[in-house]
Amino acid sequence: MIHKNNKNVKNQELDEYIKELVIARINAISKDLEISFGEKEYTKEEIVASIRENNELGREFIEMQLKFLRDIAGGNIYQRV
Amino acid sequence: MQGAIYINVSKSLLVTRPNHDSLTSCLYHWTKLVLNEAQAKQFKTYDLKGSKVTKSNFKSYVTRNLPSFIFLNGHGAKDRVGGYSKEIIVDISNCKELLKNTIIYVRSCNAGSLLGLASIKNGTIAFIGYTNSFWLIRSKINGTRPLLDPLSKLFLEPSNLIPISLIKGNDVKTSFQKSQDSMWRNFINMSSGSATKEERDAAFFLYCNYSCQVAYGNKAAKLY
Repeated sequence: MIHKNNKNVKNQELDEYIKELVIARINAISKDLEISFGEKEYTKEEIVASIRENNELGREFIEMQLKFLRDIAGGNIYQRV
Repeated sequence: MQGAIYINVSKSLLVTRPNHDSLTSCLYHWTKLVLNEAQAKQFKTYDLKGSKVTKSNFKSYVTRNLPSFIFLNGHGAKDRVGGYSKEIIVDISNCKELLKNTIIYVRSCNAGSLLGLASIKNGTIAFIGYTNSFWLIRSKINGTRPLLDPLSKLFLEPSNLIPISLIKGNDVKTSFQKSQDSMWRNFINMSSGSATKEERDAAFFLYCNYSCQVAYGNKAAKLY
């Protein structure tokens, strides 16, 4: 039971770390860009808010960023499929 | 193994290009370049544009003209594609009726997930689309001149390559690969040290489009 609780705490900490990492990357984006998908344009602030709220957009964004970072780390990003 | 299949003796293209918001307006202008190419190659073109992109008009155009190639622009979801003001013009329930025996390219979010597979199952010859969000990054200063925006060009020129390549007589596999290659080249250039900050910031989003672009069905299919 204690081991399971420790694991849950570690997972939560990891999730928070990932969120902050993704938010930092979003905040670094140039303010001169318009980011469009779905039905509207999104500001950086809106994307960051979605990530903090953990809504559908926020979760999709985190997933995309993680895939991108994994592909960079694994070297896949510079290899053509 | 599927062999080459030529869709139709009469070359015809139906395009939907609503323009009810800034994103669809950008696609509206970029899609005109595809229409120009089709007309230069003597295609019969059916340009369903602006507020005319409704479900009833789309159905009417398809059933009356039986286009060999349908190019849809608009907002989408996993199981549907919208027209003007997000009216759903095609979804899983009517794709058999509307998308059978054609090659389809859907430039919208997510439709590659469910609609693409369902349409192939229901007789669409080939489907090209995106399984996740289709991102478009634009520079604010070029907001009213979409064709002059160097950032959106990096996203939409590769995307336009799919219909343009098909129109030029290439098969689905070649057209898909041309688009992938172009996105890849742009991504690498945008990630390089010589890229502008805006290009480097936008590169991630182009990579997302590249990663989720899919082609289903008979990839040896050609329009003529």
